[in-house]
Amino acid sequence: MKQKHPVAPARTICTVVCLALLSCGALLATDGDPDGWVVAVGNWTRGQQVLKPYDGVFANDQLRGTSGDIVVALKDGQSQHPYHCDKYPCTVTIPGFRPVEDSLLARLGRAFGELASHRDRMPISAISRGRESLRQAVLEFHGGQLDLKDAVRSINPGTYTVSLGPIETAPSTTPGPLSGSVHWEPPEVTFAAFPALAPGIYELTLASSEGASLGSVVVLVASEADYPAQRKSFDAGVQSLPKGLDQVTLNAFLNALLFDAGTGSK
Amino acid sequence: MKERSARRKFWRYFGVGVCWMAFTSGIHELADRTWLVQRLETANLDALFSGKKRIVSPDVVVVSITDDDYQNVFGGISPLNAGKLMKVIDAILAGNPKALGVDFDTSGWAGPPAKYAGKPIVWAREVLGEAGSLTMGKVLGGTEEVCYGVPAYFPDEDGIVREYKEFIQGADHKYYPSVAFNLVEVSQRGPQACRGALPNLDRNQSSELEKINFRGPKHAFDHLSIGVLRTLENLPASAVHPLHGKIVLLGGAYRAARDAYPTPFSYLDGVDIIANTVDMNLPGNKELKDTPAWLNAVGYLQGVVLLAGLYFVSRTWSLLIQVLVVPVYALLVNWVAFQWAGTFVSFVPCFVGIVIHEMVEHATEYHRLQRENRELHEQMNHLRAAATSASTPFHGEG
Repeated sequence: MKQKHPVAPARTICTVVCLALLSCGALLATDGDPDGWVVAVGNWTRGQQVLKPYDGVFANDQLRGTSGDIVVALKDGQSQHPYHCDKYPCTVTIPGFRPVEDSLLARLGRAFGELASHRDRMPISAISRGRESLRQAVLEFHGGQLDLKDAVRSINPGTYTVSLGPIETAPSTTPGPLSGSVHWEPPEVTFAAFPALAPGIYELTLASSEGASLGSVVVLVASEADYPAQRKSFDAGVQSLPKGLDQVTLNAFLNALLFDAGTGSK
Repeated sequence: MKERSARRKFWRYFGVGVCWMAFTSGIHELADRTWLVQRLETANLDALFSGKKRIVSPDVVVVSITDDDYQNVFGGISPLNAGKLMKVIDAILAGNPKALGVDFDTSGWAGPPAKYAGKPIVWAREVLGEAGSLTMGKVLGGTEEVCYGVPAYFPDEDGIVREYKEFIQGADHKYYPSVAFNLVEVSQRGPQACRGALPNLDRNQSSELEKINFRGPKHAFDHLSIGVLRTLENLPASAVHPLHGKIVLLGGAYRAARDAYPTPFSYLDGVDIIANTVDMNLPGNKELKDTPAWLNAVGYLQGVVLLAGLYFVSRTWSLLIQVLVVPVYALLVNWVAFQWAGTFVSFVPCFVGIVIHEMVEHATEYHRLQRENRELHEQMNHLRAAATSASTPFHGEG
């Protein structure tokens, strides 16, 4: 019993100091580094604080709304989070997105569990997407040289075979595909030589020097005089397209825009 | 005389035990680079990562282009439009970060934008080709006069990314810095600290494979999407920008980027793997280190003490200690060393040596007892036969 008396006040002081430090830390954390912020807000409060745009919010905060919506941006890598209430007043909770801090025992259990269990098989999607080498474009033809830079997205420097199959050209144009080659070294060298090329719509096909096809795409070959207007018309059309189109629909629209740009200037 | 015999017996036991320990340690060293040992080591490493406290530096922030951003801002077209990407970079730089790493392929750009001259930006530079003959891709259309880094990582045999190199040696025998290395340098000492291709490395620089000390899963770091970044454009002057004074990494988290890799923390986007590498290289943060020589010596000493101690306990206790206590102790010490010092401690070769030694001792003793038992039986049979023949009446001449 004797030993307990001197320890008790010391323990109380320690507890008080620790609590004070903790609350100071919490306050500093509250003001210093929030988990997100308010983007737009009606009449909402966080505790006693009336929220206004750019006020900080934290994961697991309870926000109380009396009218209007609230939009919150979080540091979770996602888009903004809008919250709407059907009935007021209402309360919403900011979702926790950080990993939960576990106890020592839980972490030990997790480590041994990892050794004891087998790894979950992680799936892969064996599908090509997003990195097509070619795209629809208006190409400038000037002095027997066709500039391919707008049609080629990303290919390694090197020599490639270029074929142009006429789709819609002037009647006097030589029928049948035209072939040439390009030593691709962007941004300096992006031209292929085609001495007898008439403006019009073509199917551009690109192949490596070993013959491996890199794909084909519809392009509009424009003379030096028509190029600025046709390019502008095509770019304006691309900008007006709705967002979120799937690739097939997008390709159909882009082809149509090329035809439109090609015939519009005639 | 008896005491002398007991001492000799102990030293014989001890000497043979130490030889076994040395033998298994030698075998371990020889087998260290084999597929089997490496698989065991990576399983152990993944378990250690699982049990780790998931704390990351608040100074590292990832700005990621999500699927929504890819569709809404970039029109769903790859490679991303350079002009739009520059707008994103401008928005990040408006927050005055310490350093910005751009984890996008800029080889097709027309050239380095003049407005970024002198800014603390590290541009990712792709590495091409096979190991041993690596060539560097282009950055910002092909200029060498910008601050760049190579975001190269090396999957293990099981396909999981656990290793990187601080410097990559190119086919031209020059050493190219990693994105993580230059980002840390630029964030600590400013844009002038950025390194280009080096003919030689300093003593404290390395082109060897190093383990990534993964700090945590995807959401351990702060992440801002482009949509959220845009909301900061009208941030009041009084408010602190969330990117102010941070090391910011800009990368793609959209599906079409195909830039996600399996790691001990499941799939991580390439930009998140770089964030982990940057964090582990920040001053004060522990990198993963090979076991220091003194710790190896301590491990061996512990084995020697255990070997000597086991001589003086009964067979039952010896078996219990070896089967239950020692493996748990070894795992715990390894775990503690990893959590607090970022290093690995393996007493396994020593303990395996001791266990083999004990098994051989048991087997030898068993055979000795068997032999003695057999001899005893033979002697008893002889004696019994002699006794039988002695008790039989003599039928000689009579």
